[in-house]
Amino acid sequence: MAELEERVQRLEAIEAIRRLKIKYAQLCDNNYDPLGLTALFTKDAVWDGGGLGRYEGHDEIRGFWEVASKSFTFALHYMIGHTIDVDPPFTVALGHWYIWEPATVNGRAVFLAATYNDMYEKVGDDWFFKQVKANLNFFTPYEDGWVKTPVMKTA
Amino acid sequence: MASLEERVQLLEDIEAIRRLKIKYAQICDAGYDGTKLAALFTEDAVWDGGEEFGVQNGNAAIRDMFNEMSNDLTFALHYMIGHTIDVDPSGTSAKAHWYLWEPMTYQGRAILNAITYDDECKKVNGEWLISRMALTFHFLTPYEDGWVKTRMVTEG
Amino acid sequence: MSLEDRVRTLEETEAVRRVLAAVGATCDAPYDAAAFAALFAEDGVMDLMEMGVYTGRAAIQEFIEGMRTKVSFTMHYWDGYAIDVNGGDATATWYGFETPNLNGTAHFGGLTHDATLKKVDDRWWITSLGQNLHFMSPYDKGWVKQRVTDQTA
Repeated sequence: MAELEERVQRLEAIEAIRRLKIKYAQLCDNNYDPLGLTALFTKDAVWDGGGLGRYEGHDEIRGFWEVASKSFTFALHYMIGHTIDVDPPFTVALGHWYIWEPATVNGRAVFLAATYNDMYEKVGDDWFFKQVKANLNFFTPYEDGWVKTPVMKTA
Repeated sequence: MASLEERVQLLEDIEAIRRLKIKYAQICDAGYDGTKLAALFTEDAVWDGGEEFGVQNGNAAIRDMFNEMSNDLTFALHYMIGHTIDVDPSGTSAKAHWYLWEPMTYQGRAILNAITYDDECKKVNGEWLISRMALTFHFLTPYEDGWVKTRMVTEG
Repeated sequence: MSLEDRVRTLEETEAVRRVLAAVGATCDAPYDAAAFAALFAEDGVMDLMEMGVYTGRAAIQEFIEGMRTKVSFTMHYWDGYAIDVNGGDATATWYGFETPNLNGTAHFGGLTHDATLKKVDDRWWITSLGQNLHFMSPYDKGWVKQRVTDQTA
């Protein structure tokens, strides 16, 4: 039954993409493993973090991760409440996520809250990030909270 | 190449293991009923709380530990979040990794608890159970302090 | 159960999760009261315990409009879904963590939620939505010092 096969493929694609995002989280939380993280992206991928910078292609993206762990010495990327949209032929997909992130930045405990708009692409048997767009909600020192200090300066 | 039925079975197993962990969370948050929690574990299950909290071997020890826990842990919300579930080709065992965010009240103090789990599960008589639950504490910090000031409330 | 039934169950579980995710998203400030109410069946019920019970889309929308004026910012972190689908009926429970600005003060909200849904005309509609407010605490105090701040005050 071609139709049933397609319906199963869609469910499998959603689960595979969900796992991709969690792998991204785990690698970030393992000192922003630059090679591991870059390998999750297509060659022409874009990582756009607004104020955190915009990086295109493997060299720039890897460079970003190499620097990230110098200021973000600890982080927990809690990826929450995903919606993943994927249709036949199951080669591209869109995703939206919330992230709740306790982290230590330049020696200070912080809460980072953001949402992601992702684009994914299937190459061969595996899914990759084609675009990650992070939309910051707040980035606040632990002592202050997001009303007192919605976005802290990291310098 | 797996058959369509095998692929559907795999998706169902992933969802069942997900539900098992959510059920664990809900029973913890309803007051850590040791008997109800032990029913989610295999007979020879291992609970590994790391250096800070030690290891419990077997279903009875796990049940007793949870029953005792509610004496000091009077409130908790187990937010089980990002997870990866890998089911073995046999379809009867699996590994799971979970992120937990847990506001809790321990000995009258508000504590923020951040754990990742490395679980193993087994399918016993068609039902998934936890055979191993290993905790890695990233922080267990008094609310007033935060994890930079006091990473683990158990320290010094 | 036939293979088709099993696939349908997996699909419907995901479809219900998507509807509930949409509910949460409409509440991320600014609250989109119309979009929130539109996810309910016409006679849907929202039970917020001490904060009241609201029946029907109009009453639900009106209450959420009221929240907009009191909550200038919040995010709804909803996950930990346990969804059971039985034909055209579904029940769900989930966990919610919130970060509202209530009257100029940051708060942490810890909640659990429940819902019943019905599938009509190929769409899932919420027939009931409930919550258990475990804490809604000023950020600088935490849930032991002050468990609940009255959100409608």
